[in-house]
Amino acid sequence: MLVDALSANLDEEVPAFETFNQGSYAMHTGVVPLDGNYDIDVGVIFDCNQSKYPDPVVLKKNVRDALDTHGRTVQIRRPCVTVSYMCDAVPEYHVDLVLYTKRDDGLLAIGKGRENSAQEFRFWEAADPKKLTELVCTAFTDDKELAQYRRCIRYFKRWRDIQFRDGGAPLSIALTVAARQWFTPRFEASGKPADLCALLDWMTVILNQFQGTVTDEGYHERLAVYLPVTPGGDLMERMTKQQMETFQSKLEALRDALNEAYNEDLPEDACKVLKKQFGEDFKVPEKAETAKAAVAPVISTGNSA
Amino acid sequence: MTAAAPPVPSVTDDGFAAVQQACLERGLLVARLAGVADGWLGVQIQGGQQPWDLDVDCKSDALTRLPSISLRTPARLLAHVGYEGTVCVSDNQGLSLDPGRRSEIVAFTVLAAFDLLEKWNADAAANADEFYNELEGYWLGLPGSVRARATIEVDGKDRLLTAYLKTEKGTPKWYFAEREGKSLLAFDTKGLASHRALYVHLPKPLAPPLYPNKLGPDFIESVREQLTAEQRSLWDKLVGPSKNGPKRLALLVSVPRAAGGLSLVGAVFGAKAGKLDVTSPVTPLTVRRHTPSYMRERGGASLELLGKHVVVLGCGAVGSVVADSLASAGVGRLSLVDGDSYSEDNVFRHIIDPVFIDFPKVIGLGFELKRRYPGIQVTEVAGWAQEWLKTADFSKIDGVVFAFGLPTLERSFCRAIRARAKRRLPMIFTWLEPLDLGGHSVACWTEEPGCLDCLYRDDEGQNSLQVRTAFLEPNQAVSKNLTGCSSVFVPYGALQSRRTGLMAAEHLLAALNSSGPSYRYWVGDGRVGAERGLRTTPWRDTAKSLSFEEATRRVFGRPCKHCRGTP
Repeated sequence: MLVDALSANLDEEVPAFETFNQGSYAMHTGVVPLDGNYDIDVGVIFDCNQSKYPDPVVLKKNVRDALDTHGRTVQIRRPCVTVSYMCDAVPEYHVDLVLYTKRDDGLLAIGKGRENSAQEFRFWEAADPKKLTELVCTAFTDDKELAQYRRCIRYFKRWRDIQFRDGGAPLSIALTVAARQWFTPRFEASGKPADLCALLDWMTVILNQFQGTVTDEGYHERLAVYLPVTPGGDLMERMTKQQMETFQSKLEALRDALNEAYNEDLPEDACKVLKKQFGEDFKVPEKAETAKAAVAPVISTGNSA
Repeated sequence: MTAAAPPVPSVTDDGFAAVQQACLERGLLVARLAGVADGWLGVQIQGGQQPWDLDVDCKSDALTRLPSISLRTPARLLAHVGYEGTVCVSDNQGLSLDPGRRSEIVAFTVLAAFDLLEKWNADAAANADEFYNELEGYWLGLPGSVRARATIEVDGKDRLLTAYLKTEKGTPKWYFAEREGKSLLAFDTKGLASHRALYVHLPKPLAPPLYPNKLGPDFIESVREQLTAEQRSLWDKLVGPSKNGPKRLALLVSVPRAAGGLSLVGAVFGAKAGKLDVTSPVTPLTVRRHTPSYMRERGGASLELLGKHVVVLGCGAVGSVVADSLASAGVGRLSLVDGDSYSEDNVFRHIIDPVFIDFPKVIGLGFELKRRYPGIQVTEVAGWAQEWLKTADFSKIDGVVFAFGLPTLERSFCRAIRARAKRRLPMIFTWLEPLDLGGHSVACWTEEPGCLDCLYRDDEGQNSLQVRTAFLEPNQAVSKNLTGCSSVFVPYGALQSRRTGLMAAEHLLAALNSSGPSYRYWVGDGRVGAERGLRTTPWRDTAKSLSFEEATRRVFGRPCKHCRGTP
C-alpha cells in the first residue's frame, strides 16, 4: 500500500524506483519491540544517479510529500524517511524508507541528511545493503545452526532493549554483525540445540574482544564491530566512553547470569536468573512442568571391554 | 632375394644410446668401454677432476630397484661406493619404476652414479664424514665378511665380552653377549664354543682396506696402537695366554658417526703366546644389533616413550590390545592391573595364548609383552583395580587407561584419581558397544575441567546413568549365553575390541602431548545390531558426520559440578 501510494503520488520528474526489504525483517532477526512500535525497513532504489539530486534531502522531501496523507505521520530522519502508523494516537508500527540512488560501480548510494541539516551533512554515501543482508543470512549452511544463530541474535537484542531502556544502547546491526563474526553454534549430543551454551560462549568471545583504546575521551576499553560491507567502519564508533563502560559491565553481568543459570540444577531456578536479564516476560516454568518421571536407579548399557 | 633384417639393438646398445642422450643434454663427454660381462654396459664419463669408468647392468628387469652399477677399480674410499666398487645411488625404498623404459632407467642410474661420485670426490672432508657414516655397509662388502649378532649395547663402554661360534649348517655365525649379567634378549648358545672377545670404542675411525686388499692382521695391529692404557689392559686380557694354546679371538670396534650414533665393525683374528698372530687370517664381522634400543628405533618405536609409565586397568579384550599397542609404540613401562583369570571364554578376542588359561590375565599378557618387546618393563598386578588404587604412587605414572566397560566403576575411579593424583595426568576411559555398533575412548585429566561425569548428564545438565555418547538405547537385552546363565557375555568380536583398543592407545599417546578433555570413537556399520532389532541413539547417527573436535565439544559441554572450578 505504502509503495503504491509512493508510486502514485511522486512528482513525475522523480525517477522510477524499486523496493526491497532490509534490516531485521529481511535478516529474520526481529524482536517484539517493548513499546509495541514495530519497525519495518524498506530500501527504495531510484533509477538515477546521485547527480540528479546533489542534495538528497530534496528527494527525501519528495517522498515525504508523496506519503504525508491518510493519517500517516511522515518524518525525514538522517538515514531515512519514517512513516508511522498510529492507532488511537499510539504508534502501532513504522516503516523506515531508506532512499538510494545507483552508482556506476554497482553499489548503491544512501541519502543522508535532515531537513534542517547543514549542507555538509547532506550527502550520498556508498552502501551495499543487499550484500549485508546476504552475509548475515548465510552465516551457516546448516538449517539448525542458522536457526540457533538467529535465535541468539534475538535473545541478545531483547536483552539490549531491556537493559538500555534509558538509552545508550548499541545498534541492532552491531549486535547482528557481532554474531556473524563471533557466534558458534552449540548442540547437545542428542542433537538438541544448546542455546544457553551458545549464547554464553558468544558473550565470552565478545567480552574478550574489548581492547584498550584511546579516543577523544581518553583511554578506555572498547568493543569494535566492523561493518563487513561498504562503507565499512566501526558500528560501535558513536558510543561514548560512559556508554561503552556500561555496555561492558552489563555484558559481564549477562555472562555471569548465563553461567549461573547453566549451573542451576532446576530449570525454574535457571529461568529466574535469566528473567533478570531478559525481562519480566521471560517465562519461568512451574515446578510441575519440569518435574521428571522417576528415573530408575539402574540401567543396562550393553558396554563392555 | 630378400633383404637381410636390420640387426636388433641389444639392451646394452639401447642403454648406451640412452646414456649418450642423457650426457648430451648435460653437456658431458661419454665413451663406451669394452671388457664387460654379458648384459652389462661399460661407460666412461668425464668428470670435473677425473674420468669415471662405470659398469651398469642393462638386463635388469627388477621392479623394485635401480639396476646395479659399479665403479671400475675404485682407487680411494668414496662415500656410497662399496669395497668392490658398487655405487649406491638409491636406497631403493618405495621406488616406482616404468618397466617399459628400461634403457632410460639405465641412463638415469648412470647419471645418478656420476653425480654422486662427482659430489663426494669434490669435498674430501665431507666425503670422509659420509664414508664413515656408511662404514658398516662397506664392511659388509669386505671379502669373507661374516655376519655376527650381538645382544650388547653399543654404548662406547670398553669391556670384555663372550663370543660364541656356531659352525653347524652353512656359514659360521658369531654371537656376542655380555660376560656377566643377563641380556634382555638371549641367544641359544648351549653347546657352542665360547671365545674371548673385546669391545672398544675409538674416537676416530680407522681406514678399512681398499680393493683389492683384504682385511688382515695389520688392521688389528693399527687398532691396538690406538688403544688407551685402560683399553690396552683389556687387550692384554683378551690375547693373554690360555691353556688351549693358539686361539681365535674377536674384536668389536665402535666409532662415532658424523650423522649421529656409533658405527660398529668387528673382526676375528688369531693370537698366540699372548700376541697377535700375524700368520693367522682375519675375518671381518658385520654385526647385527639385537638390542632393545636399536630394535626400538629401527622398528619405529619411540625412544621418547621409553621413559613413560602407563597403567592399564582392566586387561580384557580391549585393555590387552591397549597394552600391546602402547608397548609396540615404545612405552617403556606398563603396569597391568586385573584380578580376572584367563579362560577358554576369552580366547579369540583376547591376544593371550590359550596356554595361559587359568592363569591371571596379567601374567599371560605380561609374558607376551616382555617376549615381543625387548626392553619393556611390565609390572603385573593380579588383583582388582580398587586394591591397586589404595597404594598407587601417581608421582611415577604418566597416564592411566581404564578398560572396564563398567560405567559406575569408571566414574568412581575418575573422581578418586582426580582427588588423589596431585599432579596432571591423562586418564583414558575406553569401552565398546555390543556387536558391531562401535567403540569409545574418552580422555580426561586429573587437574582440568572436563571429567567423565560431564558425559553422564542429560540435555538439561542433570545427572544421568546413560552416557551421552551411547550408541545403544539402554535396557535392551544384548547379552548372550551358550551354556546357561552362568556363561553370559556381551557379544562382540576381536575386530571390534582391537579397533577400540588401538584407538584408545592412540588417544593416550596423543594425550601425552596435548591437554584438555577429548573424545574419540568409531561407529560400526551396525548391520548385525539392526538384524537383532537393537534400537540405537540419535547420537550414533550424528557422530558419523562430526569431527572429533566437534564431538568433544558436544559430549563434554560445560564443566559439570564435579569438575567445575578446577584449575
